[in-house]
Amino acid sequence: MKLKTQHIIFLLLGATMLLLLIWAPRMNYTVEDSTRKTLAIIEELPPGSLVLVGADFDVENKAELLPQMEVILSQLLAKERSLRLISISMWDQGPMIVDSLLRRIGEEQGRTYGIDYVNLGYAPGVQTMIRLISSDFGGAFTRDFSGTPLAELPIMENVGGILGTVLIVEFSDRESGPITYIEQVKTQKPEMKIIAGLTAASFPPLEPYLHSGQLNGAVVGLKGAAEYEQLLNREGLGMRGMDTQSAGQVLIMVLIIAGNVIGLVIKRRRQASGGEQK
Amino acid sequence: MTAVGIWIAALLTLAIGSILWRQNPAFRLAEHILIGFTAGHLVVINYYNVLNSGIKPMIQDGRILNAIPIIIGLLFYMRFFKRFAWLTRIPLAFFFGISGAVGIVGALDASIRQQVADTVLPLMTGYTTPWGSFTFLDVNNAIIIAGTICTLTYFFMTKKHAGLIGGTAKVGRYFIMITLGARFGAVVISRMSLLYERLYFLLHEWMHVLK
Repeated sequence: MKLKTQHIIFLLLGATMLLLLIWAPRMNYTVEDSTRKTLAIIEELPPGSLVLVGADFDVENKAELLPQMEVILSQLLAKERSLRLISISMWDQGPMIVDSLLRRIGEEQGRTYGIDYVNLGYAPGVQTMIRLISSDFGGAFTRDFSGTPLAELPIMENVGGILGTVLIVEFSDRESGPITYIEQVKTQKPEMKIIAGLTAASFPPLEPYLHSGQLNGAVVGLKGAAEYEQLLNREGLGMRGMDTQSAGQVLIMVLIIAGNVIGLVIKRRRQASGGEQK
Repeated sequence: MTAVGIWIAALLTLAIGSILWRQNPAFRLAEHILIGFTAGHLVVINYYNVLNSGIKPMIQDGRILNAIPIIIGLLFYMRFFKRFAWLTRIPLAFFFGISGAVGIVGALDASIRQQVADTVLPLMTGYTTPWGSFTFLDVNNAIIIAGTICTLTYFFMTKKHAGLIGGTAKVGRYFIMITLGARFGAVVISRMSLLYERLYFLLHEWMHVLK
């Protein structure tokens, strides 16, 4: 078996990340303004406020979103805040993950399912569905994710629709998640606050919305989760993961620079020896 | 996750990871399981969705009007009958008409009007210091304004890209390249996170060597 260049790169990357995962030096990170704003918006919510949580991602992106959800949902479900949470999903895989997470954190914080928080699950239609439930959740959801009719859930009494909430916390692995809420809800209720937990890949197209204030705050990727944990002074999956991820990033940068330098040197040598230029 | 679930997940992770060495049957098996599971999950979710939101309320609560979307939805299956295939145009027309209208209404205000308004920015910013007030060029605002104008010019296809338009379009092209570079960098970061999560899962939940 002969090692090819890509095998050496994969081995180097794996070894570097494994080393940092085991060593775990716990670095400090510069906290972005968007993360600070997200934290401040949640901190300023009056007790008892109704919050909508969007779980709009596929399972493969839980690596970035789960650490964010863990820390933000813990803050939202904290007993002293007594906020009420309604979770919905525009895509089919999100409810599975958010359901177990909500129930675990809810139990840890001494909150009751159906009274303090609920997971309504998935409904199809994306933009159309969000528009429909902006005035009445019953327009798209008749039961929660576990099959309990909405009429039997105390939290759903006199709620109306999304417009009855004061904050939307959208966890998404694509830019269309937060944009849907901005286009379909914020245009109806401009004072509605929207914050997003995003994967690093989905953030660049949303930067203009953050700049314009249509998106009020954002926590981006694993780094965002680490920043949030740092602000709340609690170590979690974000801080643990960022050391490892940073090592992988640095290695890739070094490999790109080294590859270009070596390529340039080879090209110069060929030119100098009068050989064919490739 | 149960012990059996952890073992299945770990073995599938290793099978998918084996593609880094070369194409092999273990990778292909894991790949087919993933595609099959994703498709199956969507079918089950949507089956119960139609049953619980459409059919059950119609039968149990007498919501007869639910029959209209159900019948329109069933027309999608007419494509299997050559004689009635044209009927699929009806649900398609509903689908495109309604989602298009809902999407356009929101996008016109939030993604066009408000975004355009946000590019109308002051080029000069005043600063007050103990030594007096000064006015400087706001570099961030200048970049946003120049980037928007140049990028829009790049996509201006009805005029030949020469002279002033050509120069502006060329700068627009560089802005697009920087944007794509930033997006690619962000995707690399995302993929690093996926690798970290799998490594952590294998070492923590499967092998128990990491706390």
